[in-house]
Amino acid sequence: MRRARDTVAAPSPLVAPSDPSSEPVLRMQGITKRYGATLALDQVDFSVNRGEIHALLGENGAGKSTLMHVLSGLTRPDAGAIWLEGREVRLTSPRQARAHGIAMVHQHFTLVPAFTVAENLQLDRPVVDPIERARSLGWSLDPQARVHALPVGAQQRVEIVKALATDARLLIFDEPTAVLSPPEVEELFVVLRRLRDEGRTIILIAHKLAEILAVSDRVTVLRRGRNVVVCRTAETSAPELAGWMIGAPRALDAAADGDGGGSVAGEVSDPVSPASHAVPVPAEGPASRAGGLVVRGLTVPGDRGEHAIRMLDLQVRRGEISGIGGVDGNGQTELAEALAGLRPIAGGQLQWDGGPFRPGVTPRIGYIPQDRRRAGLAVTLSIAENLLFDAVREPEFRIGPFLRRGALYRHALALARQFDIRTGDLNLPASALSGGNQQKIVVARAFRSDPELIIAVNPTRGLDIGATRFVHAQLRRARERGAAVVLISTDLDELMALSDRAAILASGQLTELSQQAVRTADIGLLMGGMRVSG
Amino acid sequence: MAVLEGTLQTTATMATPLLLAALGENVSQRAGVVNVGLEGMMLIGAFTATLATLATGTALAGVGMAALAGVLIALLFALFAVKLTANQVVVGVVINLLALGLTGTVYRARFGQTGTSLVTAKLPVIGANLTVLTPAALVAAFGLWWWLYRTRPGLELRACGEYPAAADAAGVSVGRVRTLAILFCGMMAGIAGAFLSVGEVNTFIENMTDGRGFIALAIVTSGRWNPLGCLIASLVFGFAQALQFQGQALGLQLPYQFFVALPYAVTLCVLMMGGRWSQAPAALGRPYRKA
Repeated sequence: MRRARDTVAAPSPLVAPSDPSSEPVLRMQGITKRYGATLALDQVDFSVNRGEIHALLGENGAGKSTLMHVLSGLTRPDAGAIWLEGREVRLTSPRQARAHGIAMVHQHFTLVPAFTVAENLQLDRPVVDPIERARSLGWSLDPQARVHALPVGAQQRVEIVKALATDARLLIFDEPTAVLSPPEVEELFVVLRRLRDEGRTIILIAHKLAEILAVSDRVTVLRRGRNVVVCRTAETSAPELAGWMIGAPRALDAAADGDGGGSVAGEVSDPVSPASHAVPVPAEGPASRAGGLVVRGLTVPGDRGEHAIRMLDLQVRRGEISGIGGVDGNGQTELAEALAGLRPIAGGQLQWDGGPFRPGVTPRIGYIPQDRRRAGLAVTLSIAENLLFDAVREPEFRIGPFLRRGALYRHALALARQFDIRTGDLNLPASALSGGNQQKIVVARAFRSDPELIIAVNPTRGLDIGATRFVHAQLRRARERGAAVVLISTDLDELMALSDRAAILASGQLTELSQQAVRTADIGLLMGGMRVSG
Repeated sequence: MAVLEGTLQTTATMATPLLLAALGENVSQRAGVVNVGLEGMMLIGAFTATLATLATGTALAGVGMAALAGVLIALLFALFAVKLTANQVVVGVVINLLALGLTGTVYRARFGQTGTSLVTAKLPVIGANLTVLTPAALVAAFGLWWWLYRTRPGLELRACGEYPAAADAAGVSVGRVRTLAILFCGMMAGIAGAFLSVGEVNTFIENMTDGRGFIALAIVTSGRWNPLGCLIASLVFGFAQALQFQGQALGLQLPYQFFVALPYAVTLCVLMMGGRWSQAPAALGRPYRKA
C-alpha cells in the first residue's frame, strides 16, 4: 500500500498546489549535481512564491543543503536552470547571489569570532543600519560585544541581522533551530513571520516536523536527491510528512511483502532471519548476558557550549546491539565521543558491569568515529601504521621502547587479510585507498583487540554492499562474543537489521522504540522530534 | 641628570628600528601572514641604504632606496607565500638566508679588497641627538593603530587574518590585501635597516642586523598584535638595551651579561603572562585557498 503511494502518488511539482495570486519569485528546474558516483541532486525542481515561508524537508543526504548551496552560489550544478522573478540567472559565486538579493543564514556561522558585533556587521557592507534593523525585530544587539563571548542564540541573531542588513529579499535558513533552546525557537519563528509579512521570502531547511507545521506555508520534500512532493502545510500532517521524508516501505514493510527489491535494505538484511529486522525486541535468553553499560542523566556539551545531549539514560547490555537512529546533528557525535571518553561530560553517571566506567580500561573500547578522515585515520601514514596505532603499545610488539617491526608487519598483514583491505602494498599511504577500504582500516582497528564495548557511528557510510555486509557480520560476531555494541546510524535500514533494541535520538534526547511503536511513520515522527502517542 | 638623559636617548635610538620593523610585521600578521623574513629584509635595507647613500651622497635617498629594496624582496615573499600558498615560515627563513648571503657577497666584492673603512653620510640629527626616523616611527604607531581599528580597509585587513573565508564572502580580495600587507612590511623593514646603517652609525657591517628582526617578531607578539602594544614593547626592549650601556658606563657591579639577557628575559615574562589572553589572529600563518 505504502509503496504504491510512494511511487505513484508523488505529485509532480509542476502541478503542485500553489496560490494562483502569488507568482513564483524563484524557480529552479532540473537541477542535477553529481559528486563522483553519487547523484546528490537528480533533476530536482523547486519553486517558491513571494512572501511565503517555504520549508525544505528531507533526511540526511536527501539533497537539501546541496540544492540551497546551488541557490546561494556556493555550488555549481551540472545541469538545470534558475529563474528569479521571471528572469533566468546564473549564480556562480556568493557575491553574485547577494547581488540578486539572496542571503543564507548558515548553520555554522560565518562570523569572525574575535571581532565585535559592530565589526562583523560592518565587514559585510550593510546597506541598512544593522543595529536599527535588529531593533525593528525586537532585538537589542550590543555592538561592542565580542562575538565569541556571545551565547549561540545571540550569535545567530547577529548572523541573521547580517543577512538582513544587505536587504536580501530571499533568505535561506539552514536548520536554524538546531542550536536553539525551545523558547529561542519560538522567538525565531516570530521573527520569520515578521520577515515574511515584510514581503520577504524565506526558505527554511528543516527536519523537525513540528517546526515545519508551526511556521511554514508550504513544504517541499526531497528524498535521495529527488523531489517527492510539494504541498501546502495546512493540507498535510506530521505522519504524512514523515512518510514522505523517509519513504514509506522500509525494512519492516520490505520484510512483510518479502521484497528486498534490490535495495540496500534487502541486501543488508539478507543473511538475517526476517524476525531480527522486523521488530527489534530486547533480546532474552542465553545471548543476553548480565552487565554492560549503564548511563544515567548524561549531559554532554556541544562544540559551541550548548547541551548537545540532555539528561540521557541508556543501557547497553553485553551481547546486545543497541541501535540509535535519528538525523545527524541531534547529538550523535557528542554522544559517541562522550562514551568513547573523548569528550568531557557536563553531568551524569556511567557504569560498566556495575563498577566504574573508565573508557579504554574498563571496558576496552572499539570506536568507529563518524568522520574517518578527521578522527579515524592519519591518511599520510602508511596503511600498516594506521592499522597498528594502538597495537604498538602491546608487549608482544616491542622490546622496551623498540618496535618489533617484523611482528608488527605480520600482524598488519593478517588484519588486512581478515578485514579484506584490498591493496598490493601495506606501506602505501592510507590516502591511496578508496573510501571503503579506508573505512575497513578503521573497522579493523576497532575490532582488533576484542573490545568489550563497541561504539560505531555510521560504520558503513560510503561502503559498497559487500563491505557493508562484512561490517555487519563483524558487529554481530562481536555481539555473539558478548560485547556491548552501540550502533549510532542515520541509516534506518541498517539500524532495523542489526539492533536488538533501538531508539531515536532527537534534540539530544532518546526515545526508545518499543515493539508497538515500530511503525515506519512513527519512526519518521520521532526523527522529526515529535512524540508518538500510545 | 645626564645619566637619565643619556638613558632616554639611547632607549629611543635602540627602540626606533625595532618599532619600525615591528609595525610592518604587525600589519602583515594582522592580515594573516607571518613574515619570518623580517631580519633578512632589514639587512637588505641596511645594505641598500649604504650603497645608495654612497652613490648620491644624501642619507635620505639611502632611506628611500632601502624602502624600495624592502618592497622588492617582499614581493618575492608574497609571490611564494600568497600566490603559490607556500609555507610562510619556510619562505621567511629562505629570505633570511638569501639576504645574508647576498649582502655579504656584494659587500666583499665591492668593499672587501680596498681595505679602507666604509664611511657614508648620515641622517641629519634633528634634536636631542635623534634623526627624523624616531618621531616618524612614533607617529606611524599611532597612525597604524587608527588605521587598523578605525577604518574600513583596516577592518578588512584584520578580517583576512581572522577568518579569510568571511572576508572573501564580504567581497574582500584576501590575496590582494595580504600581498599589500607584506609589501608594507617589507618597506618598513627596509627603513628599519636603513636606520641601522645610515641613521645610528654611518657604515655597513656584515650581518649588522644581528637578530633585531627576530626581536621585532617577539615585539609583535608581546605587543599583542596592536601597534600601540608594539610601541610599548619596543620601548621596553630599547630601555633594556640602553641599561646595558648605561650600566656599564656607570660601573654597576652587575655582570654585563645580565643586561644583555634582560630584553629576552622581559620577552619571556610578557609571553608567559600573555599566553592566557593571547589574541593572535586566528588564521595567522595559514595560506588561504579559495574553495
